[in-house]
Amino acid sequence: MDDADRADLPAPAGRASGPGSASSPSRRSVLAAGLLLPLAACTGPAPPGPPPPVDPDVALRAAAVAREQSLIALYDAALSARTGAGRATLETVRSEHLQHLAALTAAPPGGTSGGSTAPATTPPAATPPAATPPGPRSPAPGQAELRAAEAAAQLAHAEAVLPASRALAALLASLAAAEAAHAVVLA
Amino acid sequence: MRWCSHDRAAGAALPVRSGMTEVELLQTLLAAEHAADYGYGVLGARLDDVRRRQALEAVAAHRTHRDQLTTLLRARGAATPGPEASYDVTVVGAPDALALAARLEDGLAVRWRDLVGGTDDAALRRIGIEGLTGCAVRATRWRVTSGVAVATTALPG
Repeated sequence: MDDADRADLPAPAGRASGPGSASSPSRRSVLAAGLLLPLAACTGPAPPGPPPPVDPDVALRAAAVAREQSLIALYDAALSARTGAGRATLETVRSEHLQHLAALTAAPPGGTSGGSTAPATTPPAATPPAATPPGPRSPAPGQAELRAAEAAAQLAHAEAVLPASRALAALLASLAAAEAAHAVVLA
Repeated sequence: MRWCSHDRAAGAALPVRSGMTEVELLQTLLAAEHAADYGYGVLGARLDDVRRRQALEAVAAHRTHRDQLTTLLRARGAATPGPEASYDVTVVGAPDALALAARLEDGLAVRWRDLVGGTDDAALRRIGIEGLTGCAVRATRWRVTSGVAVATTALPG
């Protein structure tokens, strides 16, 4: 498009009077370009342009969001059946998972990888079933279940670090480390 | 490097450095591991037997990382920074020692996170995750030992 426009403009004549006339396109090449462009345009409707690059961060971020939402649901279930001692720890850990969620759904630092809004909206529908892995008859997960869930999330976050962009990799590594530390306070 | 136990911001204030090469990240980490080794030596002397054992386990983990970093740097033909002659470490008593241990780990976690976010090399990222996770777990254990109400941090490093 740009070349075609340029072929219509009087640019070559103008350039010929300048000091860089040796590098300016010859009249013949401009005409050739004018001939070739329409031909190229006629070659068919096949390629509608290169496919939009798939940003791997979008799926990785969405999966991490789903993991965090699943953990939050698990802590909600645990807290609903817990009174007194132990609540404070669970509330702290739950609040840290909320912070993880916020970090994951925030705009990527530097704005290098797009799709920041998509992952925040897609995963919620998929999360509730994953929240209670052991079965329907245990509504309130115990410490061992919470530890297991944290360990599973840690591993999944760590695996997701490898294909992620640098910015997301650092965040996911931090989340993996946080889940490992959560297991310590749940012991 | 300064590891003064009264420097409250020691962990949080460490800047996340971007734009460093892999070698620079590894060298920074190695220097930080040397500092941690020294710090644990000083603070360990202020702890009772049980907690000193916890410190010795931490030292062993850090020495493993130090050796690993040295190997990685040598494989790249890069210089391997040695320990400084001395570090600015002040530890008054056991509570101070426990707080410093947690801060040492918090500070190192920043370096390990920098490595993960500063390389595309999968092997280095794995090493970085391992280092960061170890620091986060040890920092949390130290805070549990200290009796701190909130022992975890939402985003280690």
